[in-house]
This record gives sequence, C-alpha cells and structure tokens, in this order.
Amino acid sequence: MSSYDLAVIGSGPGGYVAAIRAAQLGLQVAVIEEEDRLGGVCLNWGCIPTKAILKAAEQFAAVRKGVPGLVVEGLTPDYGAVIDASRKAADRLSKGVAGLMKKNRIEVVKGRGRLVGKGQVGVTSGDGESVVEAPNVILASGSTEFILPGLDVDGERVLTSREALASKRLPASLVVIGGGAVGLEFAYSYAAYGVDVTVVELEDQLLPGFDAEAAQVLASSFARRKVKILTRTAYKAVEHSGAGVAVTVEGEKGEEILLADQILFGIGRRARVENLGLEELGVDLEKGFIAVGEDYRTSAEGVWAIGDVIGPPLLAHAASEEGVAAVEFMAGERKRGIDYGRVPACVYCQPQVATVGLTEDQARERGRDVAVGKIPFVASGKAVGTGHTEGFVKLVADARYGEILGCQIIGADATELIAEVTLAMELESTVRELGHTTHAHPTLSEIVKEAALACEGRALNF
Amino acid sequence: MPITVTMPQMGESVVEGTIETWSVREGEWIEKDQTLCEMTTDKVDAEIPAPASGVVTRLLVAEGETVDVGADLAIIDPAAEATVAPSAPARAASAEPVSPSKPAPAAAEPAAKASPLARRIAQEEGVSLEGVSGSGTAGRITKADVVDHLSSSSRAPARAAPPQAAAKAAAPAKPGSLGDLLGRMRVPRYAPQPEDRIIPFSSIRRRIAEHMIVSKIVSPHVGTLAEVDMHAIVQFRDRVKTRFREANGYSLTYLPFIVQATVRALKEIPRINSTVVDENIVERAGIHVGVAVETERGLVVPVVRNTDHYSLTGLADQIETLARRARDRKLTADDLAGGTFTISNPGREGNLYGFAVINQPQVGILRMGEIVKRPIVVQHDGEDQIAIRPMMYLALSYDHRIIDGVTGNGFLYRVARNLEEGDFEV
Repeated sequence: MSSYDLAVIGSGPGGYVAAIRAAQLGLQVAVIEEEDRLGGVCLNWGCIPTKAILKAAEQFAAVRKGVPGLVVEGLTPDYGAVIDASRKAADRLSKGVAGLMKKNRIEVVKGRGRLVGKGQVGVTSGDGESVVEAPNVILASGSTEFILPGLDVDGERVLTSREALASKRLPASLVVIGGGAVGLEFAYSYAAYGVDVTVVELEDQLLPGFDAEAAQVLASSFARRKVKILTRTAYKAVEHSGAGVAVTVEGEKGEEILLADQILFGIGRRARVENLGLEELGVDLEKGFIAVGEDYRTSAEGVWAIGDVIGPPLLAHAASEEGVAAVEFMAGERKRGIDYGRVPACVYCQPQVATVGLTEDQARERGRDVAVGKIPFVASGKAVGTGHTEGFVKLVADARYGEILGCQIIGADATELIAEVTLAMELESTVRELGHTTHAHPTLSEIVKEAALACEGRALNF
Repeated sequence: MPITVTMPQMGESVVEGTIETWSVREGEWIEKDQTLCEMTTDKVDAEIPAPASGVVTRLLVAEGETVDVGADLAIIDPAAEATVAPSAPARAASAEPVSPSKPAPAAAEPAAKASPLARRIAQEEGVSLEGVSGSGTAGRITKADVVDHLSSSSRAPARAAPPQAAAKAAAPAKPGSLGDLLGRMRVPRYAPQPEDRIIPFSSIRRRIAEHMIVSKIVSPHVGTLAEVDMHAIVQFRDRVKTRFREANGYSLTYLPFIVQATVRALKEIPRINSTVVDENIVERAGIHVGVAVETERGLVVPVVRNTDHYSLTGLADQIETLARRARDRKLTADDLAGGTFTISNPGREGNLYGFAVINQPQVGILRMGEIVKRPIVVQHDGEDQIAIRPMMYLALSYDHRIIDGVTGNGFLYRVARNLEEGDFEV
C-alpha cells in the first residue's frame, strides 16, 4: 500500500494536468491509468490523431484541387499511411506525457482505479490488486462514445470515431450520423479522399448550438465538396446489405434508405462512471455525469471530479482548466471557478469553426443591447493572397460598454484566431482595445481587429 | 530664478478653472505673454499668458484637471536652455480623442488598476473607481467589482440628469418620481455609421447643454408674442446713423433701442426683473440686462451692468464693447455674471420669431425676430389704411412659477409700446 496527498484516476488532459498542477503546489501525486498509454482519449483516440488525419486530408484535397505550379500525374491516396502517421503522433505525445509525469515526480500506477473506501483507491491490473491511499481523489475517468442500445459496432461496417481512427481502409461511401464536431471532421477527411459522404443531422443546422450563419457557410462548403447534408433528419435503423449497410433515416419528406459501405456514429459521448465505486462512496450523479460544485467537489468528502465525467462542455481544454482549478481549490489557492463563457470550442474540418462566448442570438435572448462586427475573410489581404476567402469573423459585443460577449469564426485558421478573442475576454478588454491593437499585415488576425472596429461602426477595410 | 505660474483670479466669482490644453511642452522655450495654456472656468474661457520668457521646466497640472485659484500651474526658468523644439500649437488640439464620450482624464483616477471593461462601465455610469476594491489578478478591478459597486451604492443614476436638476428633483429617486423617471429614461442608443462625424463637447458646449436642460426643468416656460411696428425707430435710426457712425466709429444697431425699451418696461413691472430664492420671489433693485452674443465657440451672454443708467448712446457703446471682447475672447468672468434679464438677438435671416430658453436664475428672456416690411392696417386721420411698415416679432419666454399671464403680457405690451412710440434720443 502506498500513500500520497492526491490520487488522480485517469491520465487524460484533465487528469494529467491536475496531477502536474498538484505537484507544482508540492503535493505527492499518483496517477492511475488503465490503458497502456497515458494521455486518455484526447491524445490517443481523439483530438490528436484526428488532427493528423485532417491535415493529410486537407493537403490531399489541395493537391487534388490543384496547386499553382504543381503538376501532378496519377494521384493515389494511401490512407493506411495517414493512419500510421496519426498513430505516430499519438504515440509521441503519449510518451511526452510520461516524460512530464517523471519530470514532476508523479507516480504512474497502471491499472483500473476504483474508490474502495474513504481516501482509498483500489487498483486492478494484470499484476493483481493494490490500494493507493490519498486523502483527496480526483475522478478524471473521461467519456466514451455513446452507442445506441442494440447497435453492433463491428469496426468493419459500423463504426464510431474510435474504430474509424484505426481503420486503414477507405470506404467508397459513408453515412455519418451526427453533424457535430466529430461527425464533420470525419466527413471532411473521408470526402477529401473521394469517399461519397452523407451527413445525417437531427437538428435544423450543422453544429447545433453554433452560430447559424457559420453553420450555413459550412453547409455550403460541404455541399461544394459533394458531401450530402441531411438536416432535420432522424436516424432510424441500420441493417447489413450486401457488403455494406442500409441506413434508414426519416426526414421531413418521410423515410429514406441510404446505402453505403460504412456507417459512422458521432452522436455524442457518455461519462465513464461504471466500476468507480461511486455509489458505495456516496458520489452523486446528475443526468449520467458526476455532480460537482463550482469547486469540483463531489458529494463525497475528499472526492473531486473534473473533465468529461462531470459533463458538458466535453472539451479537453475545459478538462485541463478544471483540473488546475480543482487542485487550486483543494490547496486553498483559488476563490472563483471557471467562467465557461470564456471557454472556446473548435471544429477542425475546413473551413474551421471556432466559437467562444455567446452568439448574437444568445446575447439577444439574454436581453443584451448587441453590437455585431462581422467581417468576411474576403476583406483580408492575407486570405485573398493565400486563397482562403471562405468564412467570416463575427464579434458580438455589448453596444453600450463594448464588452466582448462572444465571437464566432469560420474560415482558415479559425481555431488559432479565436485565442486572441478569448484572451481579450479574459482580460476584460472591450472592442475598443481590440480595435486599437496593432495587428501585423498581412495576417488573418487583421480580420479580428476589423471585426472589433466594425462593432463601433468604423471598420477600415470593409 | 525659476518663476511659478499660478492660476490667476479671473473674476471675483471664479474659484476654480480647468486646464483645457497646454500650448507648450516641458522643456520648451516660451516668450513673455505667449499663450501658456487655455483655461476654462464656469464663466469664461481664457488664455493664460506666460509672465516671463524662459524654459517651461515643469507642467504641474494635467490637461483636463481642475484647480483652485492660486494653484501652481507651471514653472518657467528664464535661465535654463530649451531641451525641446517648439511644437505647433495645433498639435495638442488635434491629439484630442475624437470620441463621443471623452475618457475621464488620467489624473482623476491615478492609481486604480482596472480592466478596460471595468473602466468603461464606470465611465458610462458616471461613477468613480476610487474606493472600489479589485478582486482580479493582483487586485485588478474587474467588471464584477464595478457591477457589485453599482448595485450596492444607492446613488441615483445621475448620468442623464445634470447635478443641479438631480439635486432639485431626483433625490431621493422614489419609484414614479421625476428623478426616477429621469434616471430610467433611455433614449435609443446611437448606432455609429461610417460617414458620421463625431465632435466631442467642448467644455463651453457642455456647460451650455447642462444649463439648457436645467432651465427647462426648473422653470416652466410660457411663451408670448408681440408684433412691433418699428417705423418710428427705423426712421429715427436712418436720420442719425451716419452722424452716429462718424461720431462713434461703429454702426448704431437696433439692439440698444430694444434694450432701452426693455429697461423702461422692467422698471414698470419689476416682477420680470426678479429671481426665485427658495420659496421667495426676489425683485431685484438693480437692472442688469444680458445680451446674448453668438461666438464661434458658442453662445455667451455678457451683461450691461446697471443698464438703466445709460442713455441710448451709452448702451450702444456698452454693447459694442462687450461684443468685441466676446469675439476676441477677452471677456472676464465678471462680464458674464449678475444679469437680471436677457435679450437674445439671434440674427436676421430665417428668424420670424422663436422662443428662447430662460437664462437661469433669471425669470424672463426676450427674443428679437427679424425686421420685415409688411402691409398692416394703420389709422391715419381717423381712417383705417393699409401701410407698408417694418415689422418685428418680439417673443417673451417667462417663468410661470412666479409670472402669471397678465404680468407677462403686460410687460411685453409695454416693451412693444415703448418701441412704437419711438421716444429715443442720441
């Protein structure tokens, strides 16, 4: 039996970051991870490998479309090599996390962790059972793909993102159920290699909850790439049909059967709360997620929870911030929780979509007097020069005080551009400071500045 | 030996002034009597000249800062050598931020560390950040701190209403009261358009605006209008104007006639020459008529003191002198103080008649219309005839708190009659 100040169950972006912050504050920390590789879903089966695939897809699409000065004869995709590259990236980062654990003198305990008593975590592994003692335990067990009851995910014809990330075969056709971030990133990647993709979304727009105008731009862009988009359409059933699948969906015009090689489900994630000993220790759940207060305490003394397991937003960076916050609350170094109005969310297909804070509609619903600055990418010299004219930056501000309420960006590098606005919000900058900041020319970031100026009716280049 | 320049006494009623712009920078050479800075007081704008030639070694007051009479403004060292080349005087003016709401001068909020949003909210709501404790990183004042401060302080949102009106009508602002109404009143917000030109209020414009609002709130205005046949005065003036010009060096206008006719009527009806002090009407012994003069920086109202002591020529002289000083921006605060009644002459074209806003704390203001030839019915040898006469509308705005219709009309009638009778001499 070994004793620590803090035990963290799960080494994903929530758990490992919480562990490092705790170590910085002088705590003795153990991280318990059941997988061979550290880093959780994000590093191994989510954020990171998908970025490798998306980049390869983007480059393939660019070459297929034609790059000035580049003559290509016989363009053949090698999707297996793409998957290999994505695994290599994941492995490298996972080793990086292991290095960080060593550097911060954090003990990594291999095995499945489970609360077995107050201040006690039982660890089950191939080597047997052990107990880790710590007065504080952070549950960071994350989430897993949500799978409809009775659905047979065989990895051949029926997949979730997990299977798709290991599948080296490019299907001829694919039905994606779910027009959210996961579904669209796979839809984009596969379509880039010429796969015939259909996206089925229940709501009336892609990326439900995101800015409707951005979703519209995205839908048009996908349509140009020959991706079929079915919104207001419900998935009903899937059956094997020949070598592929027959997918029954129901749209406004009634039922329809889509035939394809594969079906990929990207309909959400659920918390991993099984076999954690929650009930025994009196850790309450709420709608399937672990219930926590603003300081990430659960209903059981000494038990904290962060990341996907506590519910939306299911985002790696939110989990990391929660990990840091939980540890700082634990150490008495923090008074305020995280302002989720300043947590950005990004989608990495092309054009990229990034959002932080409120959309225009949400701000108006809250009774704010709103000033909107919307600048299209086509107004930017850099965007025109590099051929990325698709999209816009939309900055939503309070009309009276200039408070930045939110920002939605669709277009090239949107996921990088959003950082500036997030920082501005964190520092409580108004649109005036943002508009007064010198932005290098030519850069896409100039569009953000212009949007800030536009909020005050004084855009210079639009 | 360095000389300290202090805020001069600019008139007996002036106690403080605001430095609008410095005309020199630190380290710059200045000649004696060259403008050191532009200063505004609640009565008058003025340029402060350098008392001696030398290098301006220190500027002790920030632009926008208000200081008491006698306060140190700058240090000039006649023996020092200039370290800075003279700057174009226009530089300071053009550097002024062109924004509808001028940020609070830096000097007013010296040490408060606050986020831009917190500062903006404080500025928009007209509250000081002084005394607000910051909960942000390193004690920075955040939006939440200002919002807490606003909701905890019971002060009425005095932003829309000027201090005087707020004090009179709004404190404490009970729900449904005038103060509450003024506080809650939100006009549709201005949405900036690309071609719009935004001119920030100068301090004189701000004072005019506040004065106008206060006057309209404090005094219930009633307007009454009289038609004056200026035949006798036009004839009189035509007869004497050449001689007058030769003797005095400037033209005889109609204004001195109006002033004199008004003074006579004020003597007859002293209620118009009064003011309200608490719940008393004070009929003033002295008659001091202000004459509104348009200048490029705005409207000013210099006062002809003891107006009733002057002959027509004397009045013409006084008015000419004051108008010239106004145009040259040489008026002192005392030139503007102490009026008991005001006459406004807003120029000729497009001005049949109009009602002016009362100049507080007076209770009446007379406004001249343009003189236009019109056919009117006159009696000649006991018979009605149509004649062409130079006619003028005279509009009186009076304070209905203390002046009733009969009094107001009676006064205006007497002014008109005095003019029509044409009993003037030079």
